[in-house]
Amino acid sequence: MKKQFVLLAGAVVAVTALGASLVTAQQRTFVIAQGTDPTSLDAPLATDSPSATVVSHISETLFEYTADGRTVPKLVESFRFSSDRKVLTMKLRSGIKFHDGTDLNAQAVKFNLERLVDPALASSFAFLLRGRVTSIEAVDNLTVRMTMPTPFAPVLAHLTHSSTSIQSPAAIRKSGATYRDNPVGTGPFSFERWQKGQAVELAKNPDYWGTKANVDKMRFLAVPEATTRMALVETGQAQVAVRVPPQDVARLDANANIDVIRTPSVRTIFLYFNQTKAPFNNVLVRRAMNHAINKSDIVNFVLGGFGRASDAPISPGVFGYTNIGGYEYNPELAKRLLRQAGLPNGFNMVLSSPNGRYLQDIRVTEAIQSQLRAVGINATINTLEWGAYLAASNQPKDKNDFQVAMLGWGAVTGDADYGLYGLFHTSQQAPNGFNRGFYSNPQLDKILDQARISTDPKARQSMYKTAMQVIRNDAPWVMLHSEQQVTALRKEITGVVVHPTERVLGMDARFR
Amino acid sequence: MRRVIVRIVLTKNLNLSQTQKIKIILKLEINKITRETFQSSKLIAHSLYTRTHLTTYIARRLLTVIPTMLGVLLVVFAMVRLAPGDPAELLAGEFATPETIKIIRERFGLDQPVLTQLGLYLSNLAQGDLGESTSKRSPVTKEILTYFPNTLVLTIAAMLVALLIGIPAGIISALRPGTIVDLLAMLGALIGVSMPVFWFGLMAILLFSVQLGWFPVAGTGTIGHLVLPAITLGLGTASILARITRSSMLEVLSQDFIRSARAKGLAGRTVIFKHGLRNALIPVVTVVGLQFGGLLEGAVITETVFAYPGIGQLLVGGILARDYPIVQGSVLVIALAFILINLIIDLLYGTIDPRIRYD
Amino acid sequence: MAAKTNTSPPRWRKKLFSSWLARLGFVLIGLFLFVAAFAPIIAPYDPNSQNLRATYVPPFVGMSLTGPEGQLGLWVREINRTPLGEVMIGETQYPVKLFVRGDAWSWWGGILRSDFHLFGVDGAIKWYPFGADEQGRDIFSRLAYGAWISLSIGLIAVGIGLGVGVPLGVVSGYAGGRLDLVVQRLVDIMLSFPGILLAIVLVATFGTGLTNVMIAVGIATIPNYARLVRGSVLSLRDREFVEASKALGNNDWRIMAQHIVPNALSPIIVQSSLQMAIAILFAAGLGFLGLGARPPEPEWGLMLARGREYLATAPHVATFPGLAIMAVALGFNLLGDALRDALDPRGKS
Repeated sequence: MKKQFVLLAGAVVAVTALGASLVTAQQRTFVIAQGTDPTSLDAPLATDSPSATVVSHISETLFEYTADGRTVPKLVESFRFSSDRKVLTMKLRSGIKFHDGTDLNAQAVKFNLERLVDPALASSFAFLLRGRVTSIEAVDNLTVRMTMPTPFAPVLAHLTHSSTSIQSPAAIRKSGATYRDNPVGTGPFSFERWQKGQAVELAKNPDYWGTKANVDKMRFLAVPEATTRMALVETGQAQVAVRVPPQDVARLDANANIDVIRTPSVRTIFLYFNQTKAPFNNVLVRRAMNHAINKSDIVNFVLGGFGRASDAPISPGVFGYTNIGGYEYNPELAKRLLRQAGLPNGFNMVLSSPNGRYLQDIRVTEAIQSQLRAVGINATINTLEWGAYLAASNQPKDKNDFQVAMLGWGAVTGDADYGLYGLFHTSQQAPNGFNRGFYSNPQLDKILDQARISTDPKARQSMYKTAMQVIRNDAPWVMLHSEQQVTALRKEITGVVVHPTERVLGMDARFR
Repeated sequence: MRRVIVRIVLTKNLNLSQTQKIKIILKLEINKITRETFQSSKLIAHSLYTRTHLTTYIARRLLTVIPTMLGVLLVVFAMVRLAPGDPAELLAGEFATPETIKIIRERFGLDQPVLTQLGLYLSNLAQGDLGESTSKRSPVTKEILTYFPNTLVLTIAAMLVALLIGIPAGIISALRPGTIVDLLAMLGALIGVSMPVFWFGLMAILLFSVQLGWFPVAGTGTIGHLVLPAITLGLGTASILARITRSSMLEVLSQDFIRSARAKGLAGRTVIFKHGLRNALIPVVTVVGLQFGGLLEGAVITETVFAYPGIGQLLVGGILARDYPIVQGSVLVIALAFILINLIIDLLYGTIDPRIRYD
Repeated sequence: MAAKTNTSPPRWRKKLFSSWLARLGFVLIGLFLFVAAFAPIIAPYDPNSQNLRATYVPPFVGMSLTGPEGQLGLWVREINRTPLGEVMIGETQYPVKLFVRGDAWSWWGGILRSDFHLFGVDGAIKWYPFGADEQGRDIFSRLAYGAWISLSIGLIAVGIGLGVGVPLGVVSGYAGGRLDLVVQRLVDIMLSFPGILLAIVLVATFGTGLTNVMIAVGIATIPNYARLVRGSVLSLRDREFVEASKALGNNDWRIMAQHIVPNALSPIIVQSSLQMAIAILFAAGLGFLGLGARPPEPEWGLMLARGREYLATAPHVATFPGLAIMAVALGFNLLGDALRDALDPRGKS
């Protein structure tokens, strides 16, 4: 009898334990529905936000760009610049191990940063360091010395970018070309498996050097169709869905199990004028169009309020941002400016727009078309699929036939240099950079060059303010809005961070 | 008119595969098979196979696959390169410097003259290497081996759905021709082929996954994951099969041997299933083969709706990223599958109709 | 209907209209052609005029069959709705009248110009019979204009298929030999591409836009016609009347034009009707993949593809274009069936 009871009790315990473990295993997997499958999990090759999101959980950078906009040391314990600001010495935290058990040391940092700029790897982000760093030395086991040819103020910001993550050199050497499928870093999660086209699974790293993760597993789903992605959260098959379409917000909000949160993004959306084409070489026409477009209507009615009408070429939260005041919506003034420009009856133009690249991009373009018509400007919309669009907008001056076109730009290092230099500096005219409207102002070039090497943050701040005022005056853009990330979260999960660089971070996530 | 085609197809020794011959007829009949096709298909098959051994037949068919595939490859190879857009530029992204683009281009051999690229691709292909994906930076062969089986599973599941809905519906219609049941079934079948696939798919998600919670929304893993995509994809084919089964059944049921079987007093069900269905199935099988190709097509859209990781998604993603090796590889695999399925159908044909001999 | 069939006109006509389904097909296609031809008169508004303060207005709201004083007729109220807001229904009722003046339009390449509309609201408000889309545009008007676009897509795609595929098939079948072999290998290659893939690759190559969609769908259609026609031609090539014509010394081109093509016509007609349906559905699929017409073109496939984003919140935005596509595709399928029955010299009773 007693024996039987023990047996029975044992069985009950076993079953309960099994059940409990099944339940917890079920519950502890934190599922995030992203828009696409990562392209690569090898940090320097992870070019898009879904890839960068996954990589950020596995591998870590020397510095971190926090969600509230600060640049702080991460794998680095302390650092200092030489007096001429050309040498950066970094001391790494001790005792950090990669998931494969090897040590994080100065050699590993050297290996990774040199790998990033190695032409054989052909990383898209090599430009972050290429030409800006002359040498990287491992002074001792934990000290790295980086020498630069000229002072480069945003260098720490560049070292926060996920492509500069420090990954295990041993694993990279061992896996070779298949490393992208088996990443090894120092992060709070280690790589488990990647079901191509569907999902990436990560497991909690029990030996993490910092605050350990709360959830045991993470799963990143690739779900391109927005309706499907929302359905996953509604049915509880995922806890987080990114990029909630504005029209679904009210419905999801009404669901007692779901919170919809909005987070600013560093991405700004704008129209640029090709200044080699008439009449856009006339500043009056450019200003007139700035006055003709009703940005707040677009933000309120097309984006459903999920955006921020721009008052500067970069968004708040980026170092160097100041409100320089946008152009107010004033169609009468626009008409007057057009008359001054000698175009009292308006004109015909082609407005180029991507379709599906940015939040509601084509709807924004359609609204602009209709607003321009009100001041007599007759715009025809030209949409191209993204590959063709990028190619067409990147043609050199003599071959570029875009007139006015929409583009977006994310200052992902959180520094105004990244948000202005590549877009407005004369040296960055297409195809050399992202200045695709062939805008050129020597005065502005000088300010941007100086701000890049200046060592004083206050001075830099004021230089960027002047720079943006010059830009406002010249009106090379119609500044439209900065995007907001709208993310749906189920209430059973807390501590999820939606980063302004469009990454959803689950390091501190916890199930209720 | 049809009778005439059939006669010529039979009398002339043409450079046509059997499937192609049947295709000629089925292009006419894709919605409605009538007497001639039914008879002719048997006859074609008969005339073809009587003079050839099975093995030589297969060998000859397989030989024609190579030039066709080569043609497909050349067309795709040229077309992806004609398209505006540059894989290196897309890979490098918005922030690309010309230097980065140049390095990427060299890395993937995109700076080579097109003919050199083609030569290299062909020599690699001969060794079974489909190249390296530019956007995913992994071997194309590996990517295809990951994605294609999923599509195959989805396609087969969709075909099962189509058979399970289409054939019974066709039989029921054929047994009660002219009644309201028949009318509704055939109208339903027409609506089935007239409905945009993605619309149906999204409605199905909203109804069955979100509202009713019966099936998972997206992805793979369980049979449940397959249900909605398979129905979405299979619906059009089910409609076509229903119509073909119906007309084919009507044909067979009106034939002499069925009449005489009935006259001999055989029970209705035995007649229908033992004699009628077996004979009626011959054109259905051919259409099933042709429809496999159609399902591969439809899969492109269905996979997108249900976030299903199949070759269609791989291909569309490849096109958008101007990932030449991926596009070339996926198109080759899809075309090969299409051709091989047709070959298999031709062979199955002989199995179903015992009168066809390969000797 | 120039096909030389053995059937006398009254008989095929009788057959054509005999079935219930055929009649439905004729009604659907007739309605479609009528709307396409007179879109601006039927549509109360310009298809692209937007109102961002009336987005996602649901259909049929604020409509009543009696006026403020109980008069019979169709009466409507002003509706406003912001993306996240409630539907706001105005107080005042306005009558809907037949034959009114409204937005000016020009049609048929400028031959027709007017501001006359079949119906409209008597008052300074806008009425959305089928609701408004995500930009606050009238879905009904967009559908009317879109009928013309869908018709063009179908006609031009089928036209390309016919224009290239038929000569290819005729020459290939008539000439035989090496030419035939080459043409058939080419057709093989095209057939090895599933149609939509061919269209996707073509549109990606030559860019999005209506013209390219029509061309892409047309090219994807070519092999079907080439195969079909070649088969018919082979059957006719050695017929007595062709032999006779040859004996009379007529050259090959003349024989092909006079004897071969007219006799191969009826399968071509049937195929064309079915192909119209396929072309319209293809275009919708391309729109779904972002490779179709360019916004703000009121193309049905594009409307449906964009409307899918609002299926959960404003289902009417996708439902009406979806129904329109389905109805037209159904119409052409039914018409194809009916034509086949009618043109089939032997047919069943």
